[in-house]
Amino acid sequence: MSLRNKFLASVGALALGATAMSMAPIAQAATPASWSGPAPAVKGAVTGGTLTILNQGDFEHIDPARNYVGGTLDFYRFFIRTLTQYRTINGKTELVPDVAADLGTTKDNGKTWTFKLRANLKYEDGSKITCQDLKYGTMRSYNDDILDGGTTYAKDFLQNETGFKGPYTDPTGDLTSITCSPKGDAITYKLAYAVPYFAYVTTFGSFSPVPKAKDTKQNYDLRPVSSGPYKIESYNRGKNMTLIRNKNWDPKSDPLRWNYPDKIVVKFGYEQNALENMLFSDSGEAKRAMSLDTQMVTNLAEAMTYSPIFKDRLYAFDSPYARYLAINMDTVKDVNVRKAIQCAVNLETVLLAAGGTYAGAYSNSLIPTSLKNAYRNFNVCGRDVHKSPEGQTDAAKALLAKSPNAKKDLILAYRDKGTEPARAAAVQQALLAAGFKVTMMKLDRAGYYTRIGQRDVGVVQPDVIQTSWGFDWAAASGIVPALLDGRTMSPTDSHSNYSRQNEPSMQSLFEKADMITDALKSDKALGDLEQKIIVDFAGIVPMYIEASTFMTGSKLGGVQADGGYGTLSPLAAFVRK
Amino acid sequence: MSIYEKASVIRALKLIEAAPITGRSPAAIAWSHLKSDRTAWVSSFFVFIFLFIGVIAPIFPRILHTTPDAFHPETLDADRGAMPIGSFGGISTQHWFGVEPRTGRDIFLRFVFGARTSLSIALIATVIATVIGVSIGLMSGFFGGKVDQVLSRLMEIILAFPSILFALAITPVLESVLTRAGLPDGNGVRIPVMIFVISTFGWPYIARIVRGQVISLREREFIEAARALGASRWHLVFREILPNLWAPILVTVALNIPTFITTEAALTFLGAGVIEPTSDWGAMLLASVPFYRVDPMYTFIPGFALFILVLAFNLLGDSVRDALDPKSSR
Repeated sequence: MSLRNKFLASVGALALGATAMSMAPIAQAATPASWSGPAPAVKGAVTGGTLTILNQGDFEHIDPARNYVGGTLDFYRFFIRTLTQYRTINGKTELVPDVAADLGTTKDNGKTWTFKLRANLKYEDGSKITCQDLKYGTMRSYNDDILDGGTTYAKDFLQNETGFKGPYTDPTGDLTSITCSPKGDAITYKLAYAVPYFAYVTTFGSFSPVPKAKDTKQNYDLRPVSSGPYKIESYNRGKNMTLIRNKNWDPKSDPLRWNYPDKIVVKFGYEQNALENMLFSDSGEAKRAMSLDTQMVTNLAEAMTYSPIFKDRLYAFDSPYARYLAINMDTVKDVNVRKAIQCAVNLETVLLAAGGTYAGAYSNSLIPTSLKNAYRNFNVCGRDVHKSPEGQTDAAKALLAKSPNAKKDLILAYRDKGTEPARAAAVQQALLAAGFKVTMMKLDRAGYYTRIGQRDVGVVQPDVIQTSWGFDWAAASGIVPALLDGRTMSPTDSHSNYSRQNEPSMQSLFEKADMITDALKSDKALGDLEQKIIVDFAGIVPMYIEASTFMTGSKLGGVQADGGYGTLSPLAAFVRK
Repeated sequence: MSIYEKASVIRALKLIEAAPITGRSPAAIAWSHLKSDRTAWVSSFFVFIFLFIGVIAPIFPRILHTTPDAFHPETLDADRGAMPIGSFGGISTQHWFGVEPRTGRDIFLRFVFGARTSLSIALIATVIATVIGVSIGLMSGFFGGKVDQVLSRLMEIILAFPSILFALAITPVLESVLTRAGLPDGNGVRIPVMIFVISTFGWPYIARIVRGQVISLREREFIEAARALGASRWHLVFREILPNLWAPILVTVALNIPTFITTEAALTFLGAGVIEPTSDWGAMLLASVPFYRVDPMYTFIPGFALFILVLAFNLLGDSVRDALDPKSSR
C-alpha cells in the first residue's frame, strides 16, 4: 500500500500522520456546528506582523497532487484546501470537512462515498471552486509520470473501468468513478473495494480542487492557485517564498485555518547546526521564526535540562514514527534465530543511543498506544518491554542452542543519518553478547528505503534492517497491511514489507481483515494480526515510538503540535509585538 | 650541492678544526645533530608514547574489565539527553577519560584503540606511498626522456586533483564496486579503500623529490665512472643512486605521516572512513561535534590527541631534516 515512508526518508523530511488523534468512527449523523467556520480564535492572538519560517531545504513539492512530506502537508494548508482536513485546537486533533461540508456518507459499507460540498468557496482570483475542479484535481494525479512524488491513494482506491491514464496523456478520457450531483453541491467517489477510512485519505492533496484552465502541469508546483487564507506572492526555488493575504478567502467558510500574520516569509538553505543554534539562542530574525524541518538535536540535552527557561518555546510531542528492526525472513529462515534476535536486542541501550527518554518511549508494538483500539500490550520474548527493556541474553542463547546449525552470521543494515549509527552499534553489541556474529552495513541516506527493500539475487541481502514507519492516518490500516502483509511483495521488491513476511497462513487472515468495513472492528482485527505476527513469526523487533522536539522564537505564539501530520504547525501562529 | 657533497664539506671542516682526526659517516653526523636537538627528544618521546599505547592497547580492556565497544547504560542519565552522569563527561576511576554520551562507551579505551586504527592506516599508507613514490621517482629521473615525460605528467595530474574531495567521491564508488563483488560493506572493505586512496594521492610528493635528486645525481662523476666500468642499470639505480637518496626520503616520510594521519581523520570525519563500532579518532571527533556545548571533554580528548600527535610528528620531521641538511636554518 503506502510507500510514503520511502519518499519521506529519501528527502529527509519529517513524519506525517496523526498522533494524538484517535480514530473516531466517521460520523454519519447530522452536521456538528463546529464544522462551519470560522475557526475559534486563538487565545492572546495578535493580528499583523510577519511570520518567518527558516528551513534547511526547499519544499519537495507544493503542487497538491505531488506533496507527500509531513511538514509541507501541514504548511501548504495556508493556500491549499482539500476535501477533508485535520484540525488541531488546544492539542486536540480531529478530522473535519474542508471543501466538503460533511465527512461523507456511504450506503454500501464504504464502497461508495458521497460528500456534500460547501457553497460559495472562492479561489484567489475570485472565481468559484466547483465540484468539477475537485474531480479534475484527482484526475490530474493519475498523470503521476509527470506529476511525480505524491500519494497513490486515488489510483489505488478508485474504480477505473475505462483505464483512464490522466488528463495530459488522455485529454478526452474521463474518470467515471467520480461524479458530481446535478446541482454541483455533492461529489461521489466509487471505490474498487470498501475503504472505511476513506475520509482520512481525502485529506491528501490529490483530493483538492484545481481549476483546469489554470493547470500548468509541472509548473503548477511553482504557483498553485490558492484557495486558503494566503496566496503566493513570490517563490524562488531553493531561496525563499513569500505569502500574502488572500482577500477572497472567507474565514466563515473554513473551520480549521487562521490568518493572523499579514505576511509569511519562508527562507531555505540553512544548515542543521547553524539553524538549530539560531533558534536555540533566540537571536535576530529567529525571534519571530520557526522551522518546519529542523528539530532540536544537538541542543536537546541543554534544552531539556533547563526546560523551564525554554518552556514557552519548546515543543516536545510524540511523533507517529515507530522505530523497529525488520528481520529479513528471506535469509533468516529459522524462527528460533529470529526469536533469539528479538530477545537479544537491548531496548535500553538503543533508546539511550537515540537520546534517552526525550527521544521516545519503549514499545512492544508497531502500533502506538494512542491507537487504543488497535494497540495490544503483549510481551516480546516473554517480558513486558516497558518494565524490562534490557536484552534477554540468556533467553537468546537458549533459543540459539535449539538450532545449533542455523545461520548466526548477520548483516545489519542501517542508514548514515543522525543517531542511527549509534543505535545500530547498540543493536550490534546486544547481538554479539547473545553469540551472533554481526557485520555492519552502513548505507547512504539517499535511496536507503529502496535499497533495503530489494529482493534481487544480485545484491547483498541484509539480515537485520534498522528502519521506521510513520502512518498516513491514525488507524491500524495505515500500519499493519503496509508493513506485514506478504501480498504487497513482488519477487524483486519487498515494498514496505521489509521483513519479507510471507506466511501463507497469514494471507487468508489479511484477506478477511480487508473485508471488514467497520473502522473499530478493522482496528481490532489488525491489532490482533500484528500481535500474532510479532509473537509467532518474530520477523519484527519493535523498539520505540519516537518523540519530536522543536523550538521556536520567543515572539511567536499559537504554534502547536499538529496531530494530523505529527509535526509543528504554523497554521494558528501569530507574531507578538 | 647534494647532501652527499654537503656532508663531505662538513667532514672536511671538522677535519680542520678537530683533532685527533676521526672519520665520521654522514649518518653518524646526522645522528649527533639529532641527539643534541631537544625538540627532537620531546617530539620523539610523544610519538613513542602514542605508538607504544597503540601497541599495548589490548592490555587495557583487561585492566578496566570492559571493551571499547561495550555499552554502559548505567553511566548515562536517560532523562538528560542520555548524557554522562558526573562532571567532565563522567570521568571516574573506572572510566579515566569519561564515557561517550548516549552510548556510555569508555572514551579512554576508544581513544587507545582509535590510536591503533588511525596510526596503522597512516603508517601502512606511508609505506605504500613511499615504495611507489621512490620507484616511480627513480625511474622517471634515471631514464629521462619519454618515460620521464609520461610519469611527470601523471604526477602532475594527481597533484592537481583536490585530493580530499576526490577521495570523498571515489570512496563510496570503490566500496560499492567491492560490495557488489560480494564483500559486505564493513571495515574489511573500508580500511583497504582508505589506505588505497591516501597512498594514491600521497606518492607523487615523494616521487617528485626523488626524481629531482636522481636527475642531479645521474650526471655525477661516480655514476659516470660506474657506467664506464660496465655497471648494469640495476646496479646504477640501486647500488649507486639509491643509497644517496635516503636522507630526502626519510625527511619526506617523516613529514608525510602527520599529513596522512590528518587525512585519515578528515576522511572518517566526513563519513568516508571506518564505521561503527570500530574506534577511530576522526570518528570520535565526528561523533562528539553535536555535544560540544554539553560535554566539551568529549570533543577535547580526540581533538587534543590528534593535535599533539601531528605536532610531534611534524617537529620530529623538521628535526630530522635539520640534522640531515646542516644548511637549513634553525
